[in-house]
Amino acid sequence: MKILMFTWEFPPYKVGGIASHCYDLSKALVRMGHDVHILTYGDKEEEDYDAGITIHRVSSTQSAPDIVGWSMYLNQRFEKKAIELNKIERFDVIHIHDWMAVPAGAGLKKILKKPLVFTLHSTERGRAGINTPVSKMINDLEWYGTYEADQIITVGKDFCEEVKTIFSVPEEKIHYIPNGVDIKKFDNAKYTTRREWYAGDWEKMILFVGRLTYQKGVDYLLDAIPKVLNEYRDAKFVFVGDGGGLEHYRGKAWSLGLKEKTYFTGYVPDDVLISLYKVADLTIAPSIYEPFGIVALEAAAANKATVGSYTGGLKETIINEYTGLHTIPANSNSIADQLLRVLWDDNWCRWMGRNGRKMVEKNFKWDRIARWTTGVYGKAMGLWD
Amino acid sequence: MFSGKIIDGDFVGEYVKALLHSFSKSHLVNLVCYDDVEERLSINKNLNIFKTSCVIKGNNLFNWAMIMNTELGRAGREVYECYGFDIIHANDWLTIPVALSMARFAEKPLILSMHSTEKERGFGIDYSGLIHEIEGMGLHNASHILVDNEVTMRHVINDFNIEREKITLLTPFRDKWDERILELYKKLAKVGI
Repeated sequence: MKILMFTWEFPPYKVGGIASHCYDLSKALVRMGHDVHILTYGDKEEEDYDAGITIHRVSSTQSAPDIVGWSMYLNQRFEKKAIELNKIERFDVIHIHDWMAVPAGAGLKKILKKPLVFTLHSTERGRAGINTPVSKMINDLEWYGTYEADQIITVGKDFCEEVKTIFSVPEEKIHYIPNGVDIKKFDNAKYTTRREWYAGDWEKMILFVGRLTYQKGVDYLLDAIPKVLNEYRDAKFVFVGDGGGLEHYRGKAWSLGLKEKTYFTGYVPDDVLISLYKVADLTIAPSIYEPFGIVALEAAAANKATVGSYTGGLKETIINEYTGLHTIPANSNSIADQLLRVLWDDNWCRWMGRNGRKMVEKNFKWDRIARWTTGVYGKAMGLWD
Repeated sequence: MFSGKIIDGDFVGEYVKALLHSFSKSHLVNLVCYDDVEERLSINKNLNIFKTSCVIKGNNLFNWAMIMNTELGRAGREVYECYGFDIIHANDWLTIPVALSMARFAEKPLILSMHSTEKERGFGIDYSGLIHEIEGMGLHNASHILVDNEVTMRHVINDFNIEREKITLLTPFRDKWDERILELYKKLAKVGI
């Protein structure tokens, strides 16, 4: 199968999780014998090859007043490039990721008459709410993508229901296919950071990974930390990620008197992140809205348990009291209580970490996810119903 | 031919209508344009109009226009399949994206009528820079450019670095301008139309 995939971010350009998702999925599709072309953003127009994937980069504009205008212009470049590529490659299916690739995907579906598959990783409604003209436009583009796509993939089971409801998507054209984890990446990774740079030997290291935003529940976690420290003094909370909220949340932590008990790393490269998962004692995912919850799976791949909200994809990526513990979303008391249960029981914590690893090996390998994805491609191409 | 909404009395609307009237006397002409209501009209055996609506209102004119262009693409493909064409003619930045895509897809020459540029109009809105870049994309990739007056021609040459030979200055509605455009079509399409 010849697959053309549009994603605005692709390694080495990474902002959220879409870049890694597209990279790992493409590698698995190539392993299955498919020909995968990625059309993505770059500083300049260039072609690249990585792990059997052909990567075409096109630049965007400096003139856009907002993110939507920027992506609209990028999509024009995508569309023109894809038409040229199709003359040589004759793609079987176009696969787009999130709203930032919708205009080009919809345009090409109409001009080239190719089947269109649309993966939604999250919605604007869940990320930020629909409260500005820009967020309304993003929401409209998400709807437009679901309307134009022949088949839709969502990365979470609950999220699939959310998309069906808010965009009135017919049952027969929407599917739930989870994200996967590249286990080898975790097994083969070398330690590129040292535990003692982040926490003392005597401290339990609790890792938060994600954008520092309200949606990720950082406020509730910060409120929970003093309650945890009241009963368990030897704990250190390491926050990995940025998302524009780094200064704000570091300031908040310090104002709560948590300067010695928190560490904000900002953005870190993949090798450091994997090392941090490995040297941490457990992971915390206090999200309020989480379509999938990759953090719990990555932690599990590193044999670590996760304490995370009972919301969205985290309902599936954490098995309560088996691979981690669920908390009540947006509830700092619940976060504190569950953290304390794990902190007081080392053996249980390690046992849950090992169980998580088994779960990932069984259910969240990319090869399996790529096979499901090609099933959806086939449906979009009308190969089977 | 691609255009925005055809409005009676509006300069571009009258320009497009005059060309359709003139060309369809002897050639098959298909107009793909935006309108509030989706409609397919066969005016006579030589003239078809594909009115296309846009499902998204957009938070500004630029973003709306980009989605509108994807909708125009559907009609463009319909024309390609039902009638075929030898040349594509687009009007202003509003339809440059779809015209460029169709020209690349069908491998046909693109004529772009620049009735004015965003810089001429004063760069008055916060997405003017994007419109300017879309104009540049169209001007650089068009096979030939038509301008209505000296001022626009100067802007096209100076602001976008377009070579003079690629531009024809034709004052609309005067001196058999429509016949001269038809001659240009013939030259570019290299067919005996």
